[in-house]
Amino acid sequence: MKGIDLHELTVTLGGREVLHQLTLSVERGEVVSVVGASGCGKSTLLRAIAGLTPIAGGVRAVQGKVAFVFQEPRLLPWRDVTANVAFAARDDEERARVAPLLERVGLAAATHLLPKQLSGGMAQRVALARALVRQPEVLLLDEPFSALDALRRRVLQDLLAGIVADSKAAVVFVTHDVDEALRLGQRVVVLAGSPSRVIAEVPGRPSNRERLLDLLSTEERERAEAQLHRRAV
Amino acid sequence: MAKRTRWIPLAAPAALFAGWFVFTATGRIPTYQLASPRLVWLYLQQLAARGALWEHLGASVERVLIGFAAAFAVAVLLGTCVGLSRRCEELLDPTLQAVRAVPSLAWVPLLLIWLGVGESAKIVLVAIGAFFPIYVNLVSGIRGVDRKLVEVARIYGYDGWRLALRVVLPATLPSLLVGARVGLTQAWLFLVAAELLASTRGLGFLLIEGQQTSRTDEVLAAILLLALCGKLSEMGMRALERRWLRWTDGLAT
Ligand SMILES: Nc1ncnc2c1ncn2[C@@H]1O[C@H](COP(=O)(O)OP(=O)(O)OP(=O)(O)O)[C@@H](O)[C@H]1O
Ligand SMILES: [Mg+2]
Repeated sequence: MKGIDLHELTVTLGGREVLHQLTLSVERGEVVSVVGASGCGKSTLLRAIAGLTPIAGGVRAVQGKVAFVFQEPRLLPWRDVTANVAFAARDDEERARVAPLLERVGLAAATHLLPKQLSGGMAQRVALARALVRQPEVLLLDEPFSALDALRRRVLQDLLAGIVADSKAAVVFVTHDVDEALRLGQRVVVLAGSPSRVIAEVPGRPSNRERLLDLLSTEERERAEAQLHRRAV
Repeated sequence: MAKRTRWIPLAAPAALFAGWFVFTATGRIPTYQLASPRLVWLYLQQLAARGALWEHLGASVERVLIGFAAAFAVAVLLGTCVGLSRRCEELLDPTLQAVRAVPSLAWVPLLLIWLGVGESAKIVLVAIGAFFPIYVNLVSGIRGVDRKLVEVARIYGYDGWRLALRVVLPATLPSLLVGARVGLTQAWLFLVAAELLASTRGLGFLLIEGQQTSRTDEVLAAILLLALCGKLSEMGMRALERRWLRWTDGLAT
């Protein structure tokens, strides 16, 4: 079953094409990691999938409840941790999941803190719990673990993998970390170019690490060269 | 605030009071120009004994509260419409800005002609004074609501009234409270203006009566009462801000 189906998706921001004819589909129960240089349009891709950014061309089909963990935590500053997670809950059944989820992301002792009292990593975990509360069918994650220590990161990667396996969500996972991308994603998609498109797709196996790094650094080098060239002209 | 600095805000009023006391005690200055603190105190006691203190104070407080409440209600209604909808803004905002540009006391003759010298003219003037700070702050507060939070709310299925109530309103609360505090100060200002022009009760009436009978003790008593009322309103509003805005991450908290 398809969760996300993008066909030749084009997105224009401020008169500039950011994504060009990008095709990507994600099955329910599948995690697709997205990597690419900073500013290449990873967040834009997620926003387009969520319907927050209008598309200039192509076809976008998304089925089911969408949850989005933004690159910034985006918590409501006037609500404490519990209330921020409960913000996404629509009924008592979903509200009953708030406390157990906070426990699973390691925030059982922080439930009454306000966002201004949280560390960056704590706030990210609140945002993750908020996204999971409604058991989404489409889960969009924009570098959700970027502010976490290695141990916590591991714990949450496993938590996420477990939840996805249970809930059969279609997940797009944006990250800067190649190992994380390979560990969590069944496939890793590499975005590059200007405007960006999918330049490669690599199966999510640890053995593909070198290949992925090669792809990214080649792309980085080409970008640098193109820039030099442009300056020279 | 550290304990040792608590007296600092009291220093200037205390010095002023001491100066007043010493100055009048020398006997150089006639009472009809400046009454001594003792005379003002006696006057207040006398006023209280007659029951007139509460009557004048009550009349003024009532006008301020009714006028302010009316202004608050209308400002929240119009401000919300203008802040949330472009069409409302185009329809209402230019007119309101033009009205705002009129010095508010210019309304007085018209109010007196339309409403006479009764309570309603005074209350409407107070309301006009309180309205604009609340309205302007609310509109700019709504404009300033973080678009990122609105996106989060939309993702999780909030729209229309639920979005306004659960996200826009709390995010706007800091500006709304600032507007209300300034509006309340304005309300007192306009109250005095209204009462100076035409009244038989109220603190403004005491001012005028004192002037006409050259009773500086009466005038000073009214000024002290006004200062007290203004300070209490301000303190009340600040207490609300502290209570409701504990979540903000500004310099003050
Ligand atoms: N609102 C906007 N208006 C115009 N251009 C924008 C807007 N938002 C983003 N962009 C541009 O779109 C491009 C992609 O931005 P995006 O945030 O998707 O990058 P990203 O891949 O998520 O980067 P990072 O890894 O640093 O988060 C950038 O070049 C950025 O300048
Ligand atoms: Mg990004």
